[in-house]
Amino acid sequence: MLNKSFKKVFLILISASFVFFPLFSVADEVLTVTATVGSGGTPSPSGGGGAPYIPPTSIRFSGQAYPNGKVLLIKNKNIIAEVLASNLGDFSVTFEEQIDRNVVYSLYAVDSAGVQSVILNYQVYLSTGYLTHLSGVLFPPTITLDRYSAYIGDDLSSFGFALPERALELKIEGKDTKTFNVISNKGGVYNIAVPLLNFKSGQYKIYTKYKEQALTSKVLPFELLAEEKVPEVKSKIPGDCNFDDRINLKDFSILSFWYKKKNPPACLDVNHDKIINLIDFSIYAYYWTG
Amino acid sequence: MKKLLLTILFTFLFFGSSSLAYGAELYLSSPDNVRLGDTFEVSVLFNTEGEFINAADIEISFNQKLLTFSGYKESEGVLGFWIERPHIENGKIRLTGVIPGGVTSSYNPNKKGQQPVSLAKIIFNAKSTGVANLYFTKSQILKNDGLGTELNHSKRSKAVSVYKTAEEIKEDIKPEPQVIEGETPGVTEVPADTESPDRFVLEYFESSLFLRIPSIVTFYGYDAGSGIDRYEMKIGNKDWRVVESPYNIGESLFKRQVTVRAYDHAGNFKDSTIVVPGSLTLWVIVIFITLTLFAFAVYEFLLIYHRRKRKG
Repeated sequence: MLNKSFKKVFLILISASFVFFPLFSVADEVLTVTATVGSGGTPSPSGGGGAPYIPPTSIRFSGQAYPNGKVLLIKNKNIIAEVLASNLGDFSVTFEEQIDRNVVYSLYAVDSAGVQSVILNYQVYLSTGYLTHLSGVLFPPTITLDRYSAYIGDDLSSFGFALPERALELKIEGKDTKTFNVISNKGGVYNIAVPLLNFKSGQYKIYTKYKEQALTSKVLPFELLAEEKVPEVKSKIPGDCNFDDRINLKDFSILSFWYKKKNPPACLDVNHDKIINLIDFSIYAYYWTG
Repeated sequence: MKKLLLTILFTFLFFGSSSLAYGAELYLSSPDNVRLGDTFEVSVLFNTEGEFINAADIEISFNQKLLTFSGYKESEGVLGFWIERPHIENGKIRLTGVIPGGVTSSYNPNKKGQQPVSLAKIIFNAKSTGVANLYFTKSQILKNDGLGTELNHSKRSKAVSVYKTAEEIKEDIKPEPQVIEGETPGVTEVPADTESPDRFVLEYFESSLFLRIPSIVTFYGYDAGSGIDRYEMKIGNKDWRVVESPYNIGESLFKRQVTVRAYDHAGNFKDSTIVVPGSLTLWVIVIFITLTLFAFAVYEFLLIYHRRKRKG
């Protein structure tokens, strides 16, 4: 009896004493990482002379994505958990682990329109018997365009998901740089028709972000044409040579075939230096969709 | 006094400059002292100073008379997508990989603030006594900015002393092991890897004129314990041969069974099999037979027609 009570008190004391609250600020994303004994599960029946109870080891990520969007947790290139965000965009995903080490997790979200967010990577140190909780994860908005080439004077329509009623910035960068402000509606949707007046023709990139956050959405390229020029058929992602709108292991394999070889196909050589090297891989990794 | 100030200034300019020039720093973390025969881990750490990085190409030099490269802990580094997995090249350890989406720091609930990123964890075995110096002979680290911009950084080397016995370590002049922020000093005993590599991705891609690639087979193994050492391939009844991904499989009339075996550094292996289609598919055979029969029927018809015409 005394043994049982002692175990209970011991567990409570351990639980209370091993709660940590360090704060990390990564590019305006305020992350909190905590570790608590166990993951809220019920302890195994005590008594007898069995091995001491070790609470489960688990990892939890929580934060904000998009209203009714999906959040996927990836480890070792495999999806290990998937949750739905609330109608306000809040999510929490927990995964039970077996090990005690530095683990690399990736998270990405998919909005209600099926558009994928950027990938967020977290290397987390886990301890056996603890629930390690990374809270405050904030996905930047998603973005799509109605077309990837437009004429000067046209309106370019950009659409995406963010948290409800949040101030966003849409940036166009290239020969000219302009910022447009937009507010998402109650459902998290934002839609803006960008007037392409007073822009020089050329290659541009466009992205959105929360006003208060540095982390941006995916960066989409588009070409602004002078009236007489016919638009080229191009993928919206640099290096997507099979035009499937994805950069994944298949593209990585093809790029690997050309690694360190000279005069690769122009479509693969994304920085146009006539060789496939680490820079091309870095650009692919930036546009990675999985 | 003047001399002392000049000496300090000289030291600051010439020795301190490499570590003060850039905020970002690449360094190694390992135990300071190990025993002969010990297997120990060395972490390749990178302090990003808040920058997002997504690619690294690193070369580490080490004393091969004292240490043996015994693999790497695949699960404990962010470089999951290897362009060149850690291996020995010209007597140095070479590792090149990317992190899709990029990374800026690691998180440890027991430590305050952002922690450096563990790019990779390398396993060594101490085979002779002495002081082994580990240092970077090449390092290229790129930002996750969609342009592949290089992130300037400083580098820090590491010395590991190999002793015959544990008693010798105790008698060493360094009473305390050096603790580097962001990393717990390594435990000298690394458990032996007895697990086979995980089931791995094995894919076939048809040749493409547009991308100027032949038909290739790609494979990406994963081994948490000691990392992938090599791949071997068996096509049909042919012998095993050492291969690298992506592998030019060439063309064949008939379909072939291709088995790829991934070996980890401890000698455990895992097989994965794929059937590569031949250019002579069932449809081609059906069409060929149909056309042959049709030609034969036309020939027979014309023969009979001409015979009748002659008779008539």
